[in-house]
Amino acid sequence: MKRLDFHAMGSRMLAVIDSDVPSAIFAVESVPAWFEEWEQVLSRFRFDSELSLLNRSHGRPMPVSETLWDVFQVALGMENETAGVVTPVILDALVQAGYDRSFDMLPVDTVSAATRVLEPPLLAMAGQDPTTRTLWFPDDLHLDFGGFSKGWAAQQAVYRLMPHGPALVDAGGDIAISGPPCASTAWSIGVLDPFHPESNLETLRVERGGIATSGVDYHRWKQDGHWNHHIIDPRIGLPASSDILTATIIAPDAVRAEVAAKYVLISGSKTGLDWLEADSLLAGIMVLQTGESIYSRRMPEYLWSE
Amino acid sequence: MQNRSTKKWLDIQIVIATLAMTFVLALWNLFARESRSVASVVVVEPLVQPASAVNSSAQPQTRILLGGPAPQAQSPSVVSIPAPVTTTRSSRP
Repeated sequence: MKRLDFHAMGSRMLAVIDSDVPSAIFAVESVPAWFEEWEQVLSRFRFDSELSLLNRSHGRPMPVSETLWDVFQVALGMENETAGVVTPVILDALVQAGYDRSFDMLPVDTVSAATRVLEPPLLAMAGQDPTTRTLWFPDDLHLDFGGFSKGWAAQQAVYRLMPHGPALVDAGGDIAISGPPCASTAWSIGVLDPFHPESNLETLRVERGGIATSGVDYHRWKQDGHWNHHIIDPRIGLPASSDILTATIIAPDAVRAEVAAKYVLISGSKTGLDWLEADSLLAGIMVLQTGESIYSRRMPEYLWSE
Repeated sequence: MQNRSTKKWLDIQIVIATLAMTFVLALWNLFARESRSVASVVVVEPLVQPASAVNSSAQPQTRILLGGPAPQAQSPSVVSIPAPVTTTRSSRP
């Protein structure tokens, strides 16, 4: 088994492959380079990234790479599926909320007041031509793929590692798994306890698929005396005011897990739980601001039992 | 005369037997010492690889070698939940 820890997309990353053959080792050692390539396309914090160029294109048609095209299409599908609750068209609201630079460089306290971004546009308003892989945006449409790009990247990396053996990629908490390891029936994944970050709330057993946690417990900063966070509710154009502190979701892939975790977090525990229960492919744990934990009906299938 | 020469021959036989036994024991001890060093290398190997917490059922490889340390009784594992390979959490640097 080969394990590689590295830093990319502003987060800690981990790639694991359950094989010792040289081609598998080489593949897993290539993962940081893949992430660097994707970050150069998808980061809004890099002035010269493809996404930044697109955000500054002011309605001009722009041919895009296969990576950006693919992420755009997946994001569009997820926006439809969540009725616009999870969308990458939140950049203006994030900047207004004070999240205008990488979190590593964000000051703890800012003095400017938050301005509500009224009626942010939807991704569906963007123009696209599949034959030339060209996109053009209305003037007020600016994207931040955020955690979505981490989930997508984790899943892509696992797809590439899969032919070499059972693989796991953790992109800052968004985890993609190709299949069970050779010597066990499932991978063991901890769910961090947001109230006691030194310990895990649960230990999950996951054979394959995706796991993601979305939360307002860590990415916080003070703006004009109020605590803000990075999870924007596009319906109000402001950081979401939810009764959930963190939501952890298990889904068929890491992108769906990331989107579902965000949807549940923004929607709140009641709507979020109903939505989870309606999809037989999802399971989740919600940790509320009060400290209470809510488990979806299918969650016990994924818990290690002593 | 005959008794004296028989006694002398018996003495020689005893000396040869003693030397042979000493030689055998010395060789035995020599190889046993090498075996002990091999055995210690096997034991020193890390039993748990960083990411192998998931295969807790795998038994450590041990070899019992002649002259090596007596096999130690292994206490049965009481932990049924393997240590997590990684942890999901809200994204952080």
